[in-house]
Amino acid sequence: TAGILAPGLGVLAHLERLETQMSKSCKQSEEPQSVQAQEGALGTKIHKLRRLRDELRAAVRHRQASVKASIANVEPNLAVEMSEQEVLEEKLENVKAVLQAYRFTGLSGKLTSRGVCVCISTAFEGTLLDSYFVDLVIQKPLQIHHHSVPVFIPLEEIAAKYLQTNIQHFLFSLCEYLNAYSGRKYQADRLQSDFAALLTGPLQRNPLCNLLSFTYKLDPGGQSFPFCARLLYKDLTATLPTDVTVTYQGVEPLSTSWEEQRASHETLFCTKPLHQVFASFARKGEKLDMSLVS
Amino acid sequence: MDTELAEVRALQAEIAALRRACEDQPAPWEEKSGVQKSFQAIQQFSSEGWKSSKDLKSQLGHLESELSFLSTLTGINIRNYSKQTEDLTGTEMTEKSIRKVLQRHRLSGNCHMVTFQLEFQILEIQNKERLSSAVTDLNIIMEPTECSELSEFVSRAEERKDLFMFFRSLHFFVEWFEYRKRTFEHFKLSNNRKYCH
Repeated sequence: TAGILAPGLGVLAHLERLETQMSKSCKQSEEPQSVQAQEGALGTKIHKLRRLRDELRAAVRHRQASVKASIANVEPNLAVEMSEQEVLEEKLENVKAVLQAYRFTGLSGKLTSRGVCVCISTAFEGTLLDSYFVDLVIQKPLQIHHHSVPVFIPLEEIAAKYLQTNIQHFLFSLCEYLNAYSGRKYQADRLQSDFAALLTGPLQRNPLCNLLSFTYKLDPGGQSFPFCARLLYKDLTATLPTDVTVTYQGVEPLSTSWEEQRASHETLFCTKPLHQVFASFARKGEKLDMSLVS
Repeated sequence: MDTELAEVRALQAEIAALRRACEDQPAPWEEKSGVQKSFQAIQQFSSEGWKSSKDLKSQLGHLESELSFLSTLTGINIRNYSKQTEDLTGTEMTEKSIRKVLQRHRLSGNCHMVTFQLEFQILEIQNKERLSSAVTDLNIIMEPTECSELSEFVSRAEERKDLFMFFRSLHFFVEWFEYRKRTFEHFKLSNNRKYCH
């Protein structure tokens, strides 16, 4: 056993030497250097850190091995059990990690005593949004035990169509509705929080966020009359509206350029997410301000 | 230079954790008698909470069936996943009760004959009102690479940083492809039968 434990000692001493080297080079790199020299020093530092880390990993493994070896002398069965357990533990860690990863596919879940609890994650483009769950009881007929789906999502309709014949289809369809709702809600929330300055009144919306109504001005504080927009999303699985009307709230008829703008806004709202349209309005506004200053 | 600095921080964190693992053992280990060493080792074995094989096996079995269920349900088979977390909260942010964390995820697996490898970053910002989570970088590597329709939706997903869209499209694409293959095979077979008789 002495033969197995002695390398452990040696490794630690070696590690201490490496660490002293590291702190010395740290002090050196505190002096001002050119970018190139900095990048070179960084590369060397990474190299040394990697070596230190690898040595430490080996030391920890050594430690575990020596513990096992000394046990094997007295309790050989225990040692075998420990090796088996290490393999099992590693497998377990891997499986747990992979299960966690499923939420990135949009659908994940857990087995329950009654059946399965499925978790639907929603997102709009890169932004991760709310999750919803559906707890299913495996019996004939398949039942939804409970769920966190908002009441205005047509859950019963979707279940009636697919739940009994194809669970996958049921869940994919529900995913579509929930992701679309989440996305519409996100766009409306962003409009309210980020572009309140361009709105001339409160944003009106229904719980399903598929009917929005608001008035806005491109130049707040300016002379023009506000535009009034009405967005209807007939397709509940979509995050862009199907019907858009932009109207003008003034008494006199619009000049040609304003009429062109009004029409272009209608197109914009149909083709781009709501908050992105307003972001482009805000950018144009900045450009206008700049021209006034110069 | 940013990625290098990040690697330095990650390495330093790992080194600190490994040092702690090394230091847990009392030093004059080598001087004790054989019996004492074994006692200490067995104590450490049970105190480290190493569960019995039976518990582990049944836990593993349960989780593996969960995995099999998810794999069938989503049509996606994830084989490997790892994640690194980096706390980006500066001192100024802590004063304002803002916390910023960068997560680096790596996962790989397959959907029938298509294999994928994803690397993406998620930035989490927590302030007093809410927690926001956004994918800030998405890289997808697919095999096979020759299929143009596949590469098309992959680049769109990368552009929009849309993870869910990627997995949904992958699943539908592969299902449709498999369906086409089966339909084609079916017609080939039935045609052969026609000509053979």
